[in-house]
Amino acid sequence: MLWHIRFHGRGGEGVKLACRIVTRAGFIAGMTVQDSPLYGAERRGAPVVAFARIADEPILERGYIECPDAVVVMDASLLRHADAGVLSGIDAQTVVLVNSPGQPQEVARSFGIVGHVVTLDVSSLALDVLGKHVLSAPVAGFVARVCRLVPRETLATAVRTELVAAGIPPAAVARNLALAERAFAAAPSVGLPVRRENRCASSTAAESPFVVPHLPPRVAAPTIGAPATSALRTLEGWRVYRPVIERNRCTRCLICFALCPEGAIALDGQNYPVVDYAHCKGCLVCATECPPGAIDQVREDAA
Amino acid sequence: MQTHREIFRSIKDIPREEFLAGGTGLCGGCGGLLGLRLFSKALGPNTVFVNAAGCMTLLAVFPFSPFRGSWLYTAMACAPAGAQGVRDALDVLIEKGRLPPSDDVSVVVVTGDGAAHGIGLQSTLAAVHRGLDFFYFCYDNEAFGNTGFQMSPSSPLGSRTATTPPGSTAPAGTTTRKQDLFELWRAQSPPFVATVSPAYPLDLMDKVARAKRRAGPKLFLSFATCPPGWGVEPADAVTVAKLAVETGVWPLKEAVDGAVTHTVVPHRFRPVEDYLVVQTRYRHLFEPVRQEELLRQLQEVVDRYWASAHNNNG
Amino acid sequence: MTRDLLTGNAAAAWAARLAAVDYIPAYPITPATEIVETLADWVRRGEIQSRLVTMDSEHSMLAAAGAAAATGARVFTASSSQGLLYAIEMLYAVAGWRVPLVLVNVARAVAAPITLEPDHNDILAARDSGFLQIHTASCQEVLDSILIGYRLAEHPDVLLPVLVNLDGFYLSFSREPVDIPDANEVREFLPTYEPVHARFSASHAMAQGVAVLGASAYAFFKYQMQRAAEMAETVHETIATEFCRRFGRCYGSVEGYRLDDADLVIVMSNSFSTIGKAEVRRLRERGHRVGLLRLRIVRPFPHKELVWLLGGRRAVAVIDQNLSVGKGGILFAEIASAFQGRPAPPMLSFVGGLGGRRFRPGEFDQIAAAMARAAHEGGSSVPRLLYSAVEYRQVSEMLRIAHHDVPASVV
Repeated sequence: MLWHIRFHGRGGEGVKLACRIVTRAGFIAGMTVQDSPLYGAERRGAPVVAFARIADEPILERGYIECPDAVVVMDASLLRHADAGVLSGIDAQTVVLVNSPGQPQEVARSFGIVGHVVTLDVSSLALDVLGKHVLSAPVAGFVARVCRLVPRETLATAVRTELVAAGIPPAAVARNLALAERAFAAAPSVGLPVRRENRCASSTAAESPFVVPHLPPRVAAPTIGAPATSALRTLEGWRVYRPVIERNRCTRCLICFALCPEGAIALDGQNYPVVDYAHCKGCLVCATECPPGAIDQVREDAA
Repeated sequence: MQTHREIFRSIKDIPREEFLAGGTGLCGGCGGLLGLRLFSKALGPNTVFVNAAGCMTLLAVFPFSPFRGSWLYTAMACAPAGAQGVRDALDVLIEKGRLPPSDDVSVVVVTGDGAAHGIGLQSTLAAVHRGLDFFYFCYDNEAFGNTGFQMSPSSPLGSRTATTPPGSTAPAGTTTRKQDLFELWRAQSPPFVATVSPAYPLDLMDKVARAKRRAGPKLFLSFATCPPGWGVEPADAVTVAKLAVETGVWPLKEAVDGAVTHTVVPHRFRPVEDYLVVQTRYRHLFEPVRQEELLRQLQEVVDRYWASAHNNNG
Repeated sequence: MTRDLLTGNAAAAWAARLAAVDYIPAYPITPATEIVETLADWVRRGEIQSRLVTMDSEHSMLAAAGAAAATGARVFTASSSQGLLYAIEMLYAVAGWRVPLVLVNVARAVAAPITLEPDHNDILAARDSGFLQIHTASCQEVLDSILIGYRLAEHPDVLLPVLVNLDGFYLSFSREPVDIPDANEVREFLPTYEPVHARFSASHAMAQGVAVLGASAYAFFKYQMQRAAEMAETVHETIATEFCRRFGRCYGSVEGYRLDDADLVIVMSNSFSTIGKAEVRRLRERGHRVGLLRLRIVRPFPHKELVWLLGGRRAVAVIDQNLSVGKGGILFAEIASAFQGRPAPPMLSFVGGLGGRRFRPGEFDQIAAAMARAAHEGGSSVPRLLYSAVEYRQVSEMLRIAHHDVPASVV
């Protein structure tokens, strides 16, 4: 058997490390494993994908997992963005692990997920124990339990091994161990589907070939002929917290407008600052720098 | 103390228009991006940014560009040479009547400290030598941030980078001193050389306004908090940049035709430690044991700088 | 039109002058420097309206050249050997920007060891960069190919930069009679460059050379360069036909010499091919039915012409003036691959002229004899180095001086 697990999250949340802990656990348990992260050049907050293959046989496949047996959604906000491809290649048997406080049925319904949805509010656990939105260890615990990969002790060894290798200081390793075990204990045990072959290898999944024509070089060069096209991209999914300006406390000092790295705070007709949430990355420089403290931080899922 | 500002006296003077649109893939809380945004606000939209390899390469990723003006990516070593080609071509086309003078644009090199201090230094100093009329905006995050924060010649003594991790053979982390790009430029007496900080928007923008009136090479060395590389929260990016100025670590200054003036000088300097302690790239200086000698040395470097600056009146 | 004695370097400078180039970034290297020195002199005398800037390296030189072309100027520059290799990163970049310019390479063998005479490892190191390549055999052809090169590079279906190669010393410093066309006639053939796709101005913002993150977009843009290079074959034919009509000199992607009834064909490129022609004439006088085929356009590679002209011969010998270490002659491999799926003649690979090495008396007789044998026994892809016992004795003597303890067997 060869199981495919695909992790989706954002830069800075520990996607790669969560994936590594899971494969390390499989490795310790004597399975054949392979892991690889895929990230573009984009940064902290940008979508990141990682792949784990776990088998009881030699693994020849590499690279992108098109048809996963389990999908781990470390950041539920990604489900709102079709281009993140979180749900691509899943079927009714695919186990979909979502970091969310919601009930599985609600989450499945609201995002139209066809697979077997399991939820756990990993973010709250992490913010509670670590005070930071770093999810590698608890997500690994979540995955290990839901997918019935390894016993709790093996998971603990894997967490310790990978966090130490990543240069995490001993005190933080201990906190993460406790966190991983809490997630493990809180999650249901589901197991992974047993399939005969990788669905994506079959000819029914084939895309039709295309002979690329010669186009006028005027349009066939990596050239952008219009200004400021990046405004067409929204980045709201990058945020864990959103800044909310309390107009009654705002003194219109314009500090937030001046210091927003993204230029995502504009001024209205009365010189009140207005956040452009389509382009705000949630860095919260505005909230830190606001002299009267008129900018609140609101957890994105609750917003 | 601060120098008299001519155009940007209050925050209300900052133009409302953004010449750098949102939607880029740079990190949240990027101090380099904030510096560039303020810089472009003061410069206006009629620009060609010529970019060396670095974090800012990712500003324009097909089909998205944040620039209201134009952009050309060259390679890591040669953005100033690219700027030379653009500037010269504009001049020739205008001279020959093939481009109306109203269509002229300012040419700006955008580079990180890694390219500026190393692979790109030759082409940079050559462009300064040729007297090229251009702006040079270096976002200084004190390492090769784009590739995962390896040591650059701009990495400060005592800082941790991915290639200078502190260890028993080198508890300091980075064992070399930060190379002084300001002085490397100033040695050739270009018309305008300045350090700026995104935490001081008016100082930054007023310098751009003053530099705009000068033909020739114009350096803007911009402090660039790097949240992932420095180990600070994105929300604290500006706070850390302020601390750099308040502790004297990052002097705000300009040299017009070679003569140095400090444009913002704290009334009382905070201890350098206040700046170091908030960044995990300096954590090894404090734990598991305080590296007293190194901390003393880091304070002394700053004290010596300011003592000599005061003596020379700067 | 005037007719004068010009070196290959002077012919290149004249072509840039006639093309009314706007911009010339420069960096010195032997044996190419003369080209930009000549242009610098004309600029300083006010005879041409171009701007010439001495850069800090060939890498910077190509960056400035490409950036100026991206701004909308007609750009000329020249380099050689180590210089071309130093600029390779920017060759790929500029070609990828899809901006037209002409870069002249004065071929010189690449260190180590250092030498000044020509072979083609420098120009062929650039063969995969996206620059189209024209390899010339005479000073006249240098001048003409640069003019044709601008038309080709600036053609709206092509928009790829062009490298024109001339051999160091053998062309660069050799004077020959050259027709210098009238400037007005050239202007009609090659009007002022008017960019539509790549230019910078206040009223026309654009981002050029941007990153693409994602293999689909990368593969698309990269393959468009291949498509454009394929188009360049017919575009060149059209331009060369017009050039032939206007100026009376006609060029194809290959040049045949006494091919019509040739059983045996020698394939060469660049200036040594004229030496090859002289040898073919001599062999013909002795009754050998030998012909010569010169490869003029190396990118786009003229697969069809080569198959058409070489197919059915009794034997073919390719003389490569380059060495892909571990493989052999580069052009041999490329020509052999053109016959994929078609019956190929027996082919032999010779490596000659490395570092400017001259052909020795009798070497073409040996090549002809080897081809006659191959016609019966079949070809071979194993490269044979043209080398003589006399040379070996000379080198042995140097080895003895350089190493006191050299084994007797070497000497």
